[in-house]
Amino acid sequence: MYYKEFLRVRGIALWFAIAVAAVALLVFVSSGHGHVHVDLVQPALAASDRVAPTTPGAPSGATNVSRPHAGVEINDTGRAPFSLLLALASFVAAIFGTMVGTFLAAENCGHLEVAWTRPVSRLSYAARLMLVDVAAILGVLAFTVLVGLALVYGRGWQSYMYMDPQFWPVAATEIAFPLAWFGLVAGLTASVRTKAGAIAGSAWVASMFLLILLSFDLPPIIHGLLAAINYVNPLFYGSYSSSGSEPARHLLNMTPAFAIGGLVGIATLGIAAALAQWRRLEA
Amino acid sequence: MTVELEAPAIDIRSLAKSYGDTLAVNNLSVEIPKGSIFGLLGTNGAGKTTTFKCALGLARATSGQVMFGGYPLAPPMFESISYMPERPALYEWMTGAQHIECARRTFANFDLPRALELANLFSLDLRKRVRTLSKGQQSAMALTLAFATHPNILVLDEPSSGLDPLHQRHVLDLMIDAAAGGATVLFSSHQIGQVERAADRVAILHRGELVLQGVVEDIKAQEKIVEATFDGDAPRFSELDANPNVRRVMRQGRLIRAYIRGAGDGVVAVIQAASPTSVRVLDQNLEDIFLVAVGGN
Repeated sequence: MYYKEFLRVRGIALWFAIAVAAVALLVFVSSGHGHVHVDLVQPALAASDRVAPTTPGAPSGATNVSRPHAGVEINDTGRAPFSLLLALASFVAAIFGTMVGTFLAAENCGHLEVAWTRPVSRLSYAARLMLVDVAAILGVLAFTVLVGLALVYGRGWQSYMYMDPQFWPVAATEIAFPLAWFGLVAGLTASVRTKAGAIAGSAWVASMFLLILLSFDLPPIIHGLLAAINYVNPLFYGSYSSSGSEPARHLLNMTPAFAIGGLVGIATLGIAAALAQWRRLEA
Repeated sequence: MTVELEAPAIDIRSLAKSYGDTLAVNNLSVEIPKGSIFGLLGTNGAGKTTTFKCALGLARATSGQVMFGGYPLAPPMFESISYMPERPALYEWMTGAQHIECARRTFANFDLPRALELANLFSLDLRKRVRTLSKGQQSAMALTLAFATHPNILVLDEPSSGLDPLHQRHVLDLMIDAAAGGATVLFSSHQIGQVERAADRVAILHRGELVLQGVVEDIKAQEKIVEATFDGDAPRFSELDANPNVRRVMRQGRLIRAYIRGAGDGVVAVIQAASPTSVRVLDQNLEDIFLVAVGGN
């Protein structure tokens, strides 16, 4: 059981590792020629809030790397916190978590007769698969952070980085973020035989859409409804920033602890829903 | 003197399963003794696969229960129960070797040399991914996995499906070997000749109902055909229609065939009274019995 799931996530993780390494290599090589300016942007921030770790003397505006849910403190001194690396890695791991979150749907797609004639209970079987998946998500997160650190130190950009005072709460949020996506997708797709991938992808689109809607000036009832729905939206918890301009944060007065609790709650509820469906399925 | 009452290997009691308004299996009761080879026959949609799925907990029975060796099914029992579904539910992205490794890590009784021997018997290339295998090769892969754990109970749904005649023969031999070693085999097949050769007991399902079951030799001994020819068109015999031992009467020109249960002396006497040119009593093969039981020609 572990072995089969290990093989499944290994295949996906390998592609992620190649993609992350390729992007890092591209940035490393390009920045070495002094032609690329990496501009890390929070979409909701004002222009003055932008942070631009650049190679000294490099021209600006060549490349933008944006991440909508960057849960990090960004200041206007031209320096970036180390937790930004973790946030980027968390985003990568969340996409990975979305893909492996269809693990029960993958079993439901024609393999239940094999899965359920193992000498373990259905719950035990699902729990074992989940353990492998969660370990792989954390592995992808760690790998991406390490690649980022290698890039930072390899290029000598550490002088542009600083250890933010809220590093540990942010780190916990960034670890919980991909797990929330994993749980959410598992809960949405556990009874699906096909199109689990489409559902998982749609969950991201819907998640962004719900978050964008929340920023509009809507009637209080609709706004309240949207806010309630957004409680089960991982992007909602992952998208707060300390810039003070993010509407969700104002709405909930969200603290890091609240965000962590929200993300862990989504992961737990999603997995519980997935297991409940898994127990009820028929081959 | 003590009498040991050994529970049947599989005891299906009043099993019923419905999907919405459709009754897939209705009040099915079958006892399968240890060490027997039990063939489940039926047309498509008769309820064979549903019976297997309900028995193994893959589908929830609407009512009834299934006992294995006197106990209800529990997950640890799958150490000694192997199931081969009708459509091999293998992981298409995995290779044969990876499936074998997965089974080796999962089942305590998994016999790796035996698995490799079986893969060789079925001419399988274990380096290939399942998606690149033909349907027959996928069935062979599933059979390899099913037999390599030396199970006490084998449930095989259309095990010969897609296999060439040579490998079909191997499957029969494997089933017979397993039963000779004390295992119980429950299998379904549309190839009645194979069932007749391998099974010592059969049950025939039709539209979810059990229409016949028993020891193959006993059934064949009971079921006869009285065949008569006449100079002109064969006459109608109202006495045959009223006889409960006559399952079916077929008239075709000068020929009349009565499918009967029992010795058929009474039927022969009725036909003889109409002065046929010839009358003979034939044994039925399992295919005849099956066709009569499901109302086919």
